[in-house]
Amino acid sequence: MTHEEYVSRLDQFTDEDAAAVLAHAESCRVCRREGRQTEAELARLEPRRGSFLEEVARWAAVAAVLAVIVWGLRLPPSTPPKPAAAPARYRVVGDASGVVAYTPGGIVVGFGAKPLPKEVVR
Amino acid sequence: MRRMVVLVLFFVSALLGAADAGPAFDPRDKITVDIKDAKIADLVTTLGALANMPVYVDPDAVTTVTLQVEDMPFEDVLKVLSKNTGVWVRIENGKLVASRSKDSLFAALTVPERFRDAPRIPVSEVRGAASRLPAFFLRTRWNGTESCARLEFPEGERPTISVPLSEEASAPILYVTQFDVDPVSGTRFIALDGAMSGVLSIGGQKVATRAARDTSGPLSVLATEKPLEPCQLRSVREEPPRRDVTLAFVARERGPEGPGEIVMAPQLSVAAGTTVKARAGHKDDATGQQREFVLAAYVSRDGSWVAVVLTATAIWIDPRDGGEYYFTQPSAVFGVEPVSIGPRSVVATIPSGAATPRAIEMTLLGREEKTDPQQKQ
Repeated sequence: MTHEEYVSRLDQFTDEDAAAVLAHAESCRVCRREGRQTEAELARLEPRRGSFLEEVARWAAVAAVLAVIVWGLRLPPSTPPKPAAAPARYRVVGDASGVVAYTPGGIVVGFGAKPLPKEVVR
Repeated sequence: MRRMVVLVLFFVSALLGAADAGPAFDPRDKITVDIKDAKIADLVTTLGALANMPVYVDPDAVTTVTLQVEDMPFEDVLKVLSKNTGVWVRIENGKLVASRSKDSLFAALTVPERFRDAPRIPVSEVRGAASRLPAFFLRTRWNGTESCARLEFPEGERPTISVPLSEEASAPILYVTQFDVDPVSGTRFIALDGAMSGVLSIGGQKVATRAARDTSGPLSVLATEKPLEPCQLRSVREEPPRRDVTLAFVARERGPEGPGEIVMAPQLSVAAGTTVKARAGHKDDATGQQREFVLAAYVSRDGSWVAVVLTATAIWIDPRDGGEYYFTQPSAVFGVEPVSIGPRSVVATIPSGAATPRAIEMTLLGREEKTDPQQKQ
């Protein structure tokens, strides 16, 4: 029988023919054994199902990972934004009339010694 | 376990090291400089006063400097100054030195025999001397209410701490300002303002006291470095009122023959309730010795009085070990009331001694007051 002959014969199957085949398969011991073997082979291809405790642990781990992700998104960044550099606490200003340093406590002023009246020779 | 002990010791030693380092001005501290055509001697002397270092500027290091830098470490400012001016400015054995060549003309003289046992410290220890001072304790008794405060004055922070005399909200406040420290003796000079006007000098095991009576009741103050219990740490610092007072001082030598050479004559615009430090180099024409005079003052919050300490300083070499030593002579303030700012008041006197061969008298010539609520430093 060619494939075309098999397909044309399937097309000619009536509902009565199909019901007769199914009735035979349910009543036939050989057919039932073949059916169980087929189910066993198919079950071997499916992912392994764990025990109840394993399933609970798996779902708890997934929930914990999700919780950490959500919590991390809601928390502020671990490193705070870098503040602007603090300005110097000491500011020295001056001109030809003098120099003064402003400090947190007040002012500091310095006057150089008066120059020697005669030229310095090294 | 052993690794844990090593780690604990490491952290403890790191903490102790940090505490020991103290809050002194660090040459790595950042400063902002904005000067134009200033004399380099004025700038270097100001920087030395800022960093609490003795200063020596060679007589031929005469030039002007224009410099604008922002938030630059002190040490780097010195390098920029040297590069821009041709005057080498550096820290040398605890001194801030400026000279045209690598070897300055500075030569400390040998200390006269009669001053060899005078109080002194090595020059290299001057900068850190003030920061090594412990906290001091202030006990007040006002209208029968006694309270105690432990006060610390780290450098770089406002040196005024407000001390309420009781827990009542309406209690008077005593403003305590440390306005000067003698690095040799460790004596510090404290101005009291607000509830009481006065000056205290404390150090070592000395106990300083003052008492006053005004409309709010009798008040007595005791200050000491000896720990008092129980004492609360007080660190509240209040902003002073915005009011500037211009003060003109003249310090001159004084001998049997009358007034002598002027050693410093600063005219200073000072905010009320703050401190001022003015330092002037002085070369003794007779001996060639380089000295410095340091004026430290606190101007009261109402601008009506001033507390002043004038200190003469000198560097001598001790021939016994060849070391350079720093000698100071602060003017005494024991029992001295704060000086009302008026015309021609004598505010400080120093007798001749290890740091000055001639007596010095400082006069406050007068003041001019300027009030501007918007004015900033």
